Amino acid sequence: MENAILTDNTAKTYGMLKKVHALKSVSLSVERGKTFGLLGRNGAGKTTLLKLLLGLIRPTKGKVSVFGLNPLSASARLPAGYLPENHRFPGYFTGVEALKFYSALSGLERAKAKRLIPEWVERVGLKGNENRKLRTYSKGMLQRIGLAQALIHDPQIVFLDEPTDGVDPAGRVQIRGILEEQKALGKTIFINSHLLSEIEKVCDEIAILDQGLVVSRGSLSDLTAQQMKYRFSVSDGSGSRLWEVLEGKYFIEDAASDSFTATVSDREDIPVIIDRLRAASISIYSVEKVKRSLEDVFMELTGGDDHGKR
Amino acid sequence: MSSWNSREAMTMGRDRILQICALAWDTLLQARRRWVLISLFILATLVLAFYAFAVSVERGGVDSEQLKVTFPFAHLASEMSPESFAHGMVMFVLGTNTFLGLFFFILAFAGFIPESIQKGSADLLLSKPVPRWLVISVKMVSISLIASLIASYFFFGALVIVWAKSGYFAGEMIPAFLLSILLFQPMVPLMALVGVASRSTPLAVVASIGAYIISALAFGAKRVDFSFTYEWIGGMMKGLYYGFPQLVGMQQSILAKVGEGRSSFETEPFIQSMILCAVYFALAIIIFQRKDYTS
Repeated sequence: MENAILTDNTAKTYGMLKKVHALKSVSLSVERGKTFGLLGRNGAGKTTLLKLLLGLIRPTKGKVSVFGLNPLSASARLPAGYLPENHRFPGYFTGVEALKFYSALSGLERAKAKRLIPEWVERVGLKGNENRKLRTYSKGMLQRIGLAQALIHDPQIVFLDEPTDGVDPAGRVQIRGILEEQKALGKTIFINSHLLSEIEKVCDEIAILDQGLVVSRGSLSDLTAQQMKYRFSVSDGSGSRLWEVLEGKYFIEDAASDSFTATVSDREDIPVIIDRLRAASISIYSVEKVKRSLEDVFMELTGGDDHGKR
Repeated sequence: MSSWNSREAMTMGRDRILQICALAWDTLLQARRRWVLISLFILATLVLAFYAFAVSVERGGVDSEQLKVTFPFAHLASEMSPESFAHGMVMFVLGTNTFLGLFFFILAFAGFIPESIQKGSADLLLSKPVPRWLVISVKMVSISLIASLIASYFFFGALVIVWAKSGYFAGEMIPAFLLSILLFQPMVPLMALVGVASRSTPLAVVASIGAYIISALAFGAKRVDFSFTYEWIGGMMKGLYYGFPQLVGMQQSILAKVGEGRSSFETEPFIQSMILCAVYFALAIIIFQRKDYTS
């Protein structure tokens, strides 16, 4: 499948005297049509990577391409929509004027814009407020208009930096709905977010960035099932016999009278445990692979104590 | 994807026109928001109203062809030909346009470009498929056009009022006005240069006014031979003459030609200023193209 995004040993250093290595070496590829989530603590380099993908900044080293084009060229940004973090819309625009302006810059024909603006105003829940000046908008409302300007021109790839920042829970559900819609339309979506639950719900693939390096990447199930832990549900009262039955060969935790969790080194250990339990006349009702939460994975990979928001 | 292929195949020309219109419209909204248009039009209208109502003009002095003109405040009455009256009044407008107008212009417009690329705004603007050189060029041209529009209103308003009062239409002053418009032009790329490099409105205002003052001092040092306390300051000022647009030089050329009726017209300040204008413009584009605008 064609790559929508490709970075090859991309690095970015800010400053001339006091150098800050925001990205050290990042090699990533995102397939067309996938929803990709980038996680990381504050200062991990997420926004820097996003800005490199949009040609807002230049890489110090390495290559960046979006649909095979260098994003520093204006035409490479034609199929892209972007909702930045901490954006600041000119306060002299009304909601409608802002959408007119940004859609024109994105090359959307005037007639189409005229038809699409009211539709998007409604979709992002701003109907009735569209003719107010943006300086009177709340943070959540600005976020909604930001999402509309990022999507109105029907981009093939959408970059969203903290898309639900400042949005109320109902608005978050609404935004998630819009993203699901875009996903169904085959759009490539690249999301930076601190909200792990949001990433879990929307993304097909996730990468965790820490101190300018990708420390882990894969699908949600890959990331959360990287350890060999299995939860056994067994006949009541057999918990106390586990040590004896399993001969202390496996690391057992969370042992209750009718369940326990075993850590194994190989998948082939599972049938061995089952055989031993059966041989001891212990009934087995279920065996499930224990998944870690994305938060567990994130905390483990990024060093636990976090100054970032979640 | 097919819709995108067709959009990619679409001539970039139509996209560019749309983008140019959007950027120009944005500049106009900026002017509206900053009360630039309204305040400068009100200021010009007040001066024109002064012309229309405060200066009293009566026909028939000693000579019936002469006008008896009474200026307010100074209680100054004099007799002059309609042509002299028209020239004098329009000269005053030109002088106001070129001296005071330039200061108002800097104060009103220096913040336009830094404001557009403030933290948070730059990401929204520059992530769109619009080349950076186009953003800065359209902003500069729009600023020039808005300023020229206000100056034209002031000048042509005065021309018409003076015509109505004296019966003489000083059409021969129009080329001088068109030249005076050139005076504003080197300041636009200078404001843009400081704006893109610093993203600071106060710095853009201070640097532009500073350039105006330095250019006046450098002009004095080179042409009038001002005496400076320290000789090295005089030497430096003479050197700076070539580094700054010759605003005073241009003003002098226009006013000398029009006001004093000199036959020769000095082109050097105009050529030098336009060359510097091109240099500032190129530098502004280069910096804007290469600079990382991080939030």
